[in-house]
Amino acid sequence: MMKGLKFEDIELWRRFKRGDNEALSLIYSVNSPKLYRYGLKLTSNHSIVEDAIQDLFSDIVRNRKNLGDTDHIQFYLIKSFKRRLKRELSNEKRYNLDFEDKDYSFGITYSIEQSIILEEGSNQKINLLRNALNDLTPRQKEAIYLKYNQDLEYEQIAEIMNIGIEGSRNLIYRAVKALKDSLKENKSLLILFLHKLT
Amino acid sequence: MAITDKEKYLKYDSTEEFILDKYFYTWVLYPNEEQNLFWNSFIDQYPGKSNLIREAALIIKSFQPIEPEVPEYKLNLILHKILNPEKTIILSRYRGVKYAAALAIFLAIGSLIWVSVSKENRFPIQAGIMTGMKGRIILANGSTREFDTEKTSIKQSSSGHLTINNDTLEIKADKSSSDINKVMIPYGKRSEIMLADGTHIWLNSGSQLSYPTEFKSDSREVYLSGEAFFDVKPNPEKPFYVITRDVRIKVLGTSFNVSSYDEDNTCQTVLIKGRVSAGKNQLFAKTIDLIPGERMTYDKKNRSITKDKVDIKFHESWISGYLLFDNEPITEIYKKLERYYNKNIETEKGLDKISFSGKLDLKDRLEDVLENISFASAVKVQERNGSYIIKK
Repeated sequence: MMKGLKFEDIELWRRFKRGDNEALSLIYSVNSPKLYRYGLKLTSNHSIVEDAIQDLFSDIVRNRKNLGDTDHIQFYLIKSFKRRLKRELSNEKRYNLDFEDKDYSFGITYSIEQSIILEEGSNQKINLLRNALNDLTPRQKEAIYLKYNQDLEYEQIAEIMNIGIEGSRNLIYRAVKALKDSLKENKSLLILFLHKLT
Repeated sequence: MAITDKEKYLKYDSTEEFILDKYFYTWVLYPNEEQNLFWNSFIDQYPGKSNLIREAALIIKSFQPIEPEVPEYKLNLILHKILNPEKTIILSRYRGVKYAAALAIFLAIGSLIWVSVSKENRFPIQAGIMTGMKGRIILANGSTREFDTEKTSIKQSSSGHLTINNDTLEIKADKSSSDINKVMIPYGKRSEIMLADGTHIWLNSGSQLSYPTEFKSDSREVYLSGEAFFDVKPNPEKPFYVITRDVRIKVLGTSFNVSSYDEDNTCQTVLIKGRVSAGKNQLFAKTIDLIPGERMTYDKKNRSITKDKVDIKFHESWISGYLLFDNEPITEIYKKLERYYNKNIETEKGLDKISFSGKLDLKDRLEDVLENISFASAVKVQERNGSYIIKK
């Protein structure tokens, strides 16, 4: 399935570069909501996010003839979008923070109560998981988000977050392990619960 | 997935390995039939792994964030600015009105693309491809048959024969291809389908059904977009599932009605007789049981499920060619008539507060049906260029 998608991406991108506005609309309507949601996790300022989206697309439209090929449009756009957002944020005095700074935050709220139904996890387990999720570092949260919600690969996450590939692997592995370990403290309850299910 | 992949997963002995595996988390987040088959059989074969798998699925699901509302109109405006970098200023200064109209049309087109794209998840039926006036069946081997009848009868036999009205086709099974047939019924038409197992389905206007030519696996699964009435052949060994974009209904020999149009805000299941259990179309989703006369409603906005009692005659009448309503907002009735007759019906604002009770005969011409509603509900009908406009 992924291979099929990538082939479509190559073709779609080429159509866009040839000046096909229908291809542009398609690329835009698939990706702009994703960029918007990602952007709002890096800043709560909607208009900065909107400006960054407009600038990004205006630029690629203006330079469309000179753009290289890509087999992963979403990745290409996210990477470029984050760079712009970062620049626009540092232009604004109030938002003068550097992403590479230790103290940036990744503003994400987990919908754990809605996405997990009581059948799958007891209240206690859900509480443990929620606490562990909130204890993740902003960088771990961002990496997890890019992998599981934007469906990106380690290499791509590494580039977007400006770290090495091993770094992105480690970031995600540690986060996953922390979550699993949080449930371990409650192992006896888990076994009891699984008995009830089977 | 081949057997070698099962061997790969057999070697996994920690929750983390499953969580990090792409094929695994794709299944948890966007399950489809093929993946369900693979993982269910894997768990059956290696029950020792089931605890790891459950824990991994739980953690992956916990990653789901509450996403902020994305203002579509703003994104549409941005797209407009991107597409028209210079025109924006000139037009808005000199030809304000025309510009506004052009923008409105553009936004309408923009949001059309939008809808068809954002609904494109991994549900096998895609939104927005019900074009044309003819009914169609896309066969497992990739070929397409069209039919033009008002009411088409389709009969699938387990030997691979397919009869459309009185035409019998012999479909050679191609082992490499999938064995799914897809029936598409445009607005204004209907179809009656008999599946290989004897299950009888009435497919309403503007609906699509995907079904396997033969039920080989240990469950019978069909996919529905739109509205259908099912009379399912009982077979306790092979439960029958109706899967819509949002809801999965498990059937144990029974008849019931499912209405799940993409353009509607809810997906409704009404049970006529027998027993079904239904829940969200998600992995390990909680299900609720229905008894005859009960309706389950899935609200797409809040993603919530509710259950209430209804009078079943209002939900099975369409298969006999008439519609019954009890205090139904007339705007909802016009939606149904639009689909049934494939005509455009526009309603003025505020009409949703007017309700209608009674019987509409769908053998009547649309003009007469609209006239009947107008008479009872004190609204006016105007015809313009083949569309109907309803006013207070």
